[in-house]
This record gives sequence, C-alpha cells and structure tokens, in this order.
Amino acid sequence: MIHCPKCGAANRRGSRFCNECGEALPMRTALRCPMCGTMNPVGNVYCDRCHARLIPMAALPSAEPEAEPEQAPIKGPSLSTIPLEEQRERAAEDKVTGTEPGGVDWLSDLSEPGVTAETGAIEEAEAEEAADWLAQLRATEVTGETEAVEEVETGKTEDWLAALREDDASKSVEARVAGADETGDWLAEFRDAALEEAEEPEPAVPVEAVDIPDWLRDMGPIGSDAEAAPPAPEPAPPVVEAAPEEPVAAPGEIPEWLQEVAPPEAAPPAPEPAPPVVEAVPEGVSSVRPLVEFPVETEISEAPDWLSELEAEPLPTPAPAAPALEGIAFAEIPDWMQAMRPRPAQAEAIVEEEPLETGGLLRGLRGVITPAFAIEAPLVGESAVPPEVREAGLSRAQLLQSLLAQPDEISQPKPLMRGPRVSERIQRWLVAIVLIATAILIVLTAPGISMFYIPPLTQPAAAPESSQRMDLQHLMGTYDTIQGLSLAPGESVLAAFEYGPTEADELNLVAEPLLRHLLGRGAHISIVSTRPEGMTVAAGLLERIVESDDQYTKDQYSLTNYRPGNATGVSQLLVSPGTPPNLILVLTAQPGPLRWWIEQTQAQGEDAPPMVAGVSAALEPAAGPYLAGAGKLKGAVSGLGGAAVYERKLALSDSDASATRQLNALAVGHTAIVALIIVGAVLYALSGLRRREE
Amino acid sequence: MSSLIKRWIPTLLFTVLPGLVVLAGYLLPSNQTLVDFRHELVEWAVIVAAFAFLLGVFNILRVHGRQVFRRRQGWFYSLVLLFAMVAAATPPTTQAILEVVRPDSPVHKTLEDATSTLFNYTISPLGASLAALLVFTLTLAAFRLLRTRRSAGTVFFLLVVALVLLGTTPLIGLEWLADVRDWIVNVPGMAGMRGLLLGVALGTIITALRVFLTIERPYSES
Repeated sequence: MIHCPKCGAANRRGSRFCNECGEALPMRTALRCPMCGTMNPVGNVYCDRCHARLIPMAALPSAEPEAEPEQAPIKGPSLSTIPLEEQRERAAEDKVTGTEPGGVDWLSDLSEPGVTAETGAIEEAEAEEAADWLAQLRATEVTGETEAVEEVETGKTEDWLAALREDDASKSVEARVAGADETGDWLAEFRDAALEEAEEPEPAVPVEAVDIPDWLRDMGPIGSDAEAAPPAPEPAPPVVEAAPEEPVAAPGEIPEWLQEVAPPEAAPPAPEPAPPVVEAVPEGVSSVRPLVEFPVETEISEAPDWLSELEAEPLPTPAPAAPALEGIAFAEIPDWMQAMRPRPAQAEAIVEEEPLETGGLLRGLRGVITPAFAIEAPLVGESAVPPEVREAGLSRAQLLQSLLAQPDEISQPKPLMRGPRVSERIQRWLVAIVLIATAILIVLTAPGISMFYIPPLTQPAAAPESSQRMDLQHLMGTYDTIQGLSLAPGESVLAAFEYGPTEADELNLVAEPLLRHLLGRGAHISIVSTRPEGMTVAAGLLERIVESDDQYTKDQYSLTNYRPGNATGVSQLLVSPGTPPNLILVLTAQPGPLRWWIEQTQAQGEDAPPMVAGVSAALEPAAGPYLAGAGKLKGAVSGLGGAAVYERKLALSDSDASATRQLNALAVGHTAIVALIIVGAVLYALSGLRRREE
Repeated sequence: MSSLIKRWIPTLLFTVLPGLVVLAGYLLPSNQTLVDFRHELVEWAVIVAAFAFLLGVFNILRVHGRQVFRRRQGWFYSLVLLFAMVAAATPPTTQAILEVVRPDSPVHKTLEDATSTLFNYTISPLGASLAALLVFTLTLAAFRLLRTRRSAGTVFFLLVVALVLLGTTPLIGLEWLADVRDWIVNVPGMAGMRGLLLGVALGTIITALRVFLTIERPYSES
C-alpha cells in the first residue's frame, strides 16, 4: 500500500494518483536486477551492471512512455532499426509485385504472438516513425482531400480503432500477453482497459478534447461520446472510463461495423508468425498513442514489474492471435490509408532519422548499427523462448518473487525466557543458606572472636620428614633448601610475588611461613613481580610480618620493580647484571608464571640458583612434574594445609601461625561443601530412579 | 618488488632474524656474542612490553572517554571506571614522580598510605569477594551435577571431588583421607599434568617454527 503524502489515504500499490484527493503518489522509478540486485532506471532492458535481462521476453515492458518518452534508452542492438528495414523491404516488395501495400500483414502482425516487444525503446522508435507518418498525414490533409471525405474516413478510422480495442478485449489472455510483446505496453494497457471496462461498467468519461491534436480533430469526429462529454481537468483521462460505450465483441464474433465493411468471403488464413517487431504496430495505431494516457503500473516494491505481471497473468504460452482476427477482412484498409504508407524514398528519409544512440561509445550517432544485424538476430520471441522454458522460467520467477516478498530479517522464534522453576529456586536457596551458615559458624568459632573454646577439628600432619606423602616430601624439600642456604653478606633471595588480591587470601598464608623462614635465616629478600599488583601485595605482607616480630627488620627486604613482558621479563631479570640471587622463591596460583620461572631459571644452566615455590592447593599437580626430576625446583609448599605443616615445622607461635588458625574454618567449609554434594547426588539419584520407574 | 620491500624484508629483518638469534643464544651458551645479543634483544622486548602496557592504559582512556562524551549506552559505568582508574593510579604515580623530583618530600608517606589503604580496603576485598562467589557457583554446580548428567563418570567425578576436599584438611580421625588425596593428586593428577605440559611444549615448538618460517605472522594484520 502507498499512503498519500497529502491526505494520508492508503492506495493500492502501483497507483499513480491518490484515490481520495488525486494527489500524485511518489513512485520509485527503478528496477531491481534479479541477478545482481542493482537498481536500474525504468526503461532499461538490460542491467547496467551485469547486463542481465531485466524484462523477460514474455512480459510486458514496464516503461512509462508517456511520462518520460525521451528517457527510454535504446539499449538493445538496433531494436529501432528493425521496423525501418522491414518497411523498406516490404515497400520494395510491394512495389515490385504490384500488390497492395502490406496493410494485411501489419494488421495481422498486430496480434502476432511471436513478436516480442523488447523495450520502451521500441515504442520510442515507433513514436518517431509515427511522427513521420503523421507529418505525411498532415501534408496530405493540406494538399487536397475534401473535408467530407476526410470526415468519413476519419470516422472509419475511429471505428476501426474501436474495433481493435474490442477485439483485443475479447482475446484470450495468452493472446493479450503475446500481443503486448509485439505492440508495447501502451497497446496492452489499451486492451486491459477494455477488459476492465467489461468488468466494471461506469459512466464514460470521454477523451479530453485538449489532448486531441488539431489535425486529428479536423479529420473527423472521434466519437459522439467524446464530443458530448465536457473536458476533464485531468490531462490524462483513462481510456478505461471511455471504453464502456463501446460494445465488447465476443471472441470470434464479428463486430457490427465489420459486418458492414467486411467482404462476404471468408477471412484469409492467419499469417505465419512474423519476426519483425515494429511492423506489428501499424503507424495508424501508433498515432493514437498521444491521445490517451494510461495509468502506469510502476513497481513500488522490491520485485520488478515484470515479476508482478507474471504473477498476475501466469500464462506463459502465447497462442497465435490470428484466429482472433479472422473476422477482420484484409480489404478493410481503406485506400487513403494504404496510400499513406511510406514510399521507398520516404523510407530512406526515415532511415536518416534513425533514433539517436543514447548510451555507450556510440552516443550521439544515428544509425550506426546496421539493420541487417537486427534482421538476422533471432528476435522472434516465440522461437527464442519455447513454451516449456517459459513455464519453467515462470515458476522460477514466482519463486523469486516470493523470496523477494519475504522480510529481510527472517523472524526467529523468540526463546522462551522462562525463569527458574520452584525446585531450582529451592536448591539455590538451600546451597546459599548452608554456605552462609558455614561462614557464620567459621566467624563465630574463630580464635579471638568466639567466647568459648572451639577444639581443633583438624591438625597439620606431624613429622613430615618421615612421611611418605608426596606433598610432605616436597614441603620438606623446600624447608631443607632454605635451611641449607649459606648467605654471605650482600647475597639475597629473589621472591617473585606472582599473585594478586584475588588469590591473596590463600597465597599470603602460604607465603608467610616461607618468608618468616627466610627472614629468620637472615636473608635479604628482593621482591619482584610480573604483575603490577604483585608488588603492592608483597609490600603489605612483608610489612605485616616485620611488624609482628622484633627480630625482623625492614632492611631485610626491598621492593625491586614490576617486570613487564611475562616470560621475557623473567628472562631479562635473570640475566640482568648484578649479583645473582642465592635462591628464587616463586609464589603463585597460576600455572603460567610458575612455568616461566622454572623454564627461564633452567635455561640459565648450572649456574642458576635453586628454586622453591609456594603455590595454591589447586596448583600442586602443576608443580609436581618439575619436582620429580633433577631440575632447579627443589621443593614446593601447596595450599593452606601445607602452610600449616610448614608452620608446625618452624614451630611458630600460635600468634604467628596464621595458616594453622584458619584450618578449622577451612575444614568446616570443605565439610559443608561435601555435604551439599552428597545431598544433591542422593536427591537427584532418587528422583532419577523414580522418574525411570514412572 | 613492493611486496619484497613491504613484507618480506621487514619480516625477515625484524622477526625471523631476531628470533633465530635469541634461539641460538639459548642453544649455544658458549658463544658469548650470541648470548650478549640475546640479552640485548630481550631487554628491548621488555621495553616494548612496558610501552604496550602504557598503550593499553591510553586505549582504555580513549574507549571509555568516547563512551562518556557521546553518552552511549552504559556511559555511566565507563565514567565510574575512568574515575576509579584515575583515583587508583594517581597516588602511586605521584609518589613515583616525587621520588625522582623531591626525594625528601614529606608527602611520600601520605601517598604511600593512600595507596596501601586503597589496595587493602577496596581492591583486595573486592577480589576476595569475587573468589568467594566462585565457591558458591561451583558448589551449586556440583550439587546439581547428577540432575543434568547422570552417569558413572559423573558419580566418579563427584567422589574424587569429595575425597580431595576432605583430604586437604582431614578431620581428626579421618587422617587417612589425606593419603588418599595425596595419591589422587600426585599419581593420576600429575600424569594428566605431564601430558598437558608435553602438549604445551610441542605446541610451542610448532608455533615457533611457523613464525620463523613466516607461515604465521601474529604481529601482522595480513
């Protein structure tokens, strides 16, 4: 639907004027190429980009000849030269044989199905030809025909034209499609108008006298209705409204006027489908075109005109229109009209006025493409496109149109945004309540907060040096390495703090006993990190350790620098000039930094210092492979449990043993989580069994 | 010719050759020239990495600053981010500058306290809270695991989780769980970790070869 910009009324798609207020509706004058999607101006037969054909052979052209006739470009190869050549040949042939000029042929070609109207450019050429013909007509009028004869003859011509319209209206749809191919859409719309008139008879609105040229008005009455009707303000009254006055002849029925004129003998057989395109349009008929203006069905949507028309009239096989003209006697062409056919000399003059090439390298030249090329070309639509191909093409075209009619965005089904079910909410609340209760219990039972004594729920392993557990052996490796340091003055231990505040709650507890051990051994600790926040974490931890014990001093540690570059930074630090450290302590909860330090230290060769690590409990398996061999990593302390064991090994006091104080809380938390896992497993195992039984 | 100048010569000069030199410095530690050259190139790499860090800061400023000035969706959060970044970076940056310009300035202690306060009472608690949320999420997932996937492997997985958790801090009387946990971590767990490390090593070698042979150019848009 198109909404009127003036009154807002909804109009049928393709309407040119508003049905409510008569306002001109906006129209898109572009055709979308079905192959590449390029928008082409109306009138193009071939796409400007990919040269694909925009208008099928069997479809009506969608140009607007009366709106912008001069803009219809001549895209086809010498389309406009076909009729001229044909006319010359036929005129010469008539002259030689002495027969009547080809009025019969061109009249029969009027409904020839095999001829294809290529573009609006054909109509352009026809208009030019008609102008010539009309010029001759004017000359004839001036030079000598009496007014009475002219009047009679004009009246005959008008009847003949009306009969043509009636005859077209009575044709089958196939013949109309084929005829449209031959004669251009102005004639097709002419016939369509007759059909529409038959469907909805309305009071006739005559053709406006203003539109009728003077020379044609002088030739005789156009019609009594046209004379009687007042002049309409609209310059283009549709013929659809003028047509009801004319009787519509049934198919095969001889019109009344023809019964009077036609000779008694039977109609000649239908001629063979003639290839010439423009010859199907007689000059006399072409001259009528300026009298009327038809509503132009310009495609507004994405689908081109030819697609819409194909869908509206899906009749691919054009039947020969000769039977429809059986009732028309060839002798009906009056002599005066035959005399108006261009003579050979006149045809030569017309050749000189061949249409101007409007595009390409030949722009501005006339007649540069030889007519012989067009004659030899297989331009006969019937032979070029067999019926079965048309049917297949029609089905494809309809499929294409249906695809184009679909919205750009395929509507996806909206996902169902259902919230959690009641049981899921209960589960979440159950887990949350248990964990919160556990945390509250931990806080209430923490040493120093609780008002009553809470016995330890767990204890660190005793005598790790004699244990067979791997983690305790790794812990003892760390202890022995630090314990075996022989630190001379000026020598230091490099401590890499490769963790941030997120992991600080666990890693600080792991690092504290190791740092206390080093400080107790009198080592000077140089702190480095490949993480920006690592330095701040280290500074806070060491400051707290030094303040907690008087035997440590702030001079025992120094914050070196943040080292960007990850593994490269580690390598650069290890090869930097200066006294190499006696020991490297890596504190991390990520496998990457642990690997960097181990690999880069190992790459330094035998001179590299030994390494120990304090890692999170989750990282213990990652450190294991490096501990098993004879590498530089001598030991590791993992997790809160390992830190508590180390504190016990160092025999730290209760106030200094931070990890040991957290053991109860850790044990309670772990137990609560395991209890939840067991409850969930039992719950869903039972529900699964019940569901299976059901 | 232009491809040779624009593509291959820089690739060979700035990527393949330095990479080969650093690699040769590792493989031939007896050649002191190669070792020194390797050290120099590594030093350059660290400087470039530090500059990349600075570029990252400017990129955050640019992206979120544009978000704020154009009032796009979520611009308020970008404003908060910019404010937090400036607030967190100002004290240590100022302190670092003053240490160079005026080493004896009394403002040092104030800036140091501001930095530690910001870290200890804002950044550290927020990080710990995020880690605590992870506990809740993992616990809920383990709780509902048998609902979504009911198989022997799932049951075995949950059993291992329970044993490792209980064995990490064994309750009194259940010390044997520590031995079970130790075996799980150091035998099957370490075997899996060895496999991962071997895979990482092989992948690193292949990636290095592809970069040296210019099959991959992660440093180039092309």
